[in-house]
Amino acid sequence: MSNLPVACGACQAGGVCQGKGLSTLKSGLWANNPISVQVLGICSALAVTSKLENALVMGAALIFVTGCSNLFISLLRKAIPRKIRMIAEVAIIATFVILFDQVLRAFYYDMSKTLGPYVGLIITNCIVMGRAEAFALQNPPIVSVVDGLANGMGYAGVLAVIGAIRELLGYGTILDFAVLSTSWYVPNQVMILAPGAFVVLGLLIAMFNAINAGKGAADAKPAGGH
Amino acid sequence: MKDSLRTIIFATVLGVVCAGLLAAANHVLKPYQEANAAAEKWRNVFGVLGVPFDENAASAELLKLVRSKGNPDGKVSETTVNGMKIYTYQHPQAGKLYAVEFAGPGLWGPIEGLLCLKSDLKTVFNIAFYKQEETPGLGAEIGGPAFRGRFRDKTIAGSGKGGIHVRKPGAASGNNEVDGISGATLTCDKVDAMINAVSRRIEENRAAILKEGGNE
Repeated sequence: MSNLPVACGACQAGGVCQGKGLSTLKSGLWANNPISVQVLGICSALAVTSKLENALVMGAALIFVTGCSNLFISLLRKAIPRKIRMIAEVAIIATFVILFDQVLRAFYYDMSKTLGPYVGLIITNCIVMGRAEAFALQNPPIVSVVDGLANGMGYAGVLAVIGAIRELLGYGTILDFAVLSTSWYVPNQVMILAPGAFVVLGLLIAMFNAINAGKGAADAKPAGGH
Repeated sequence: MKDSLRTIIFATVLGVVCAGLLAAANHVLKPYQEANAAAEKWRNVFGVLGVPFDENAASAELLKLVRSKGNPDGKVSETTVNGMKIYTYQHPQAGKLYAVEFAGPGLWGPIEGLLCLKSDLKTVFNIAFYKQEETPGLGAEIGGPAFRGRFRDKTIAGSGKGGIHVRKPGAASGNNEVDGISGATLTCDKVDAMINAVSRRIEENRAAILKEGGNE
């Protein structure tokens, strides 16, 4: 249960986790991006990205949840009994997800109706559980928060890109401001529907792979996912 | 033994802390959530009655308007006749309107809506299905303007049968039949049943509703 020497050398050496923190941030945002590289969290990435606003709120939800759950799981990492560690993780994650859902229902009702069950489904999102298991259980709190936020932002970033592309082509708007005038642009219905999400996400992952392959990024490990 | 005890204590403490946190959050946020739900109902009622109101108004503001009897132009009133919730409104062009709540089982989940009739309590002014979980793209189209528009000016009391019948697409004839939606026969049958049920109840209570509505 002690810190992995490789994982947190820089952090213990002092400072505010300069080396380790930065590489963790980069890993979550780009090299190990949860969606485009690890192909996790695809369900919600496809389901809530028909408009940019929805994608942004969903991204914010995940940043909040991964950040908070990583912090608390990391703080408790030495206290959590091994046998029930997964149940404990899920309990902590679920608490933050329900909290976000309740706030949304109280202060952002329209968005809450639009996102429907997908906010609650963050509990089962592989990214959150994955970061808790793979990172927060082995690392101290500050760097775990950085990891959680970085992965949340990596997810949010990809969602925002998909949301922007789909809204632009599907409605001709960005955040409900008309960008492509309907006088000459016919909104492409397929972008609003599920197939549009698959096409955009597929192209995005291909682009990521092409860029990473070009750079010969050694730490990019494509993996099958959910 | 010591290990299992520690596990049990940890699980209990974690459970209590998480539950306590959520209970507290729920307690604080509940008034806002209830206001949203109540305001949502009034948005539906105003929408189906054609009452002008600010669609972007915050829930709290909208409710304040309703509670102070100052709903957009102070003319929507709420009555209950024989267990039927009815909202009446004096529309500037269409005259007295009655919006009657109805509900029934859909294909996948409950459907709730409002049937809005003109002053004769027979002619349809508008209809809304504000709660439904039908198949997106097929049954869910009952909530869309195309299907709802088919009800306009139809009559719920014709040829002794009562109600409006949702027929196979293209088969509707006469002013108590509307075209259904292709690929959503099951949903349309349920909608047919619930509209007929509410129409029958309106017919049975016609005199009482007109009296309650204060048909001056």
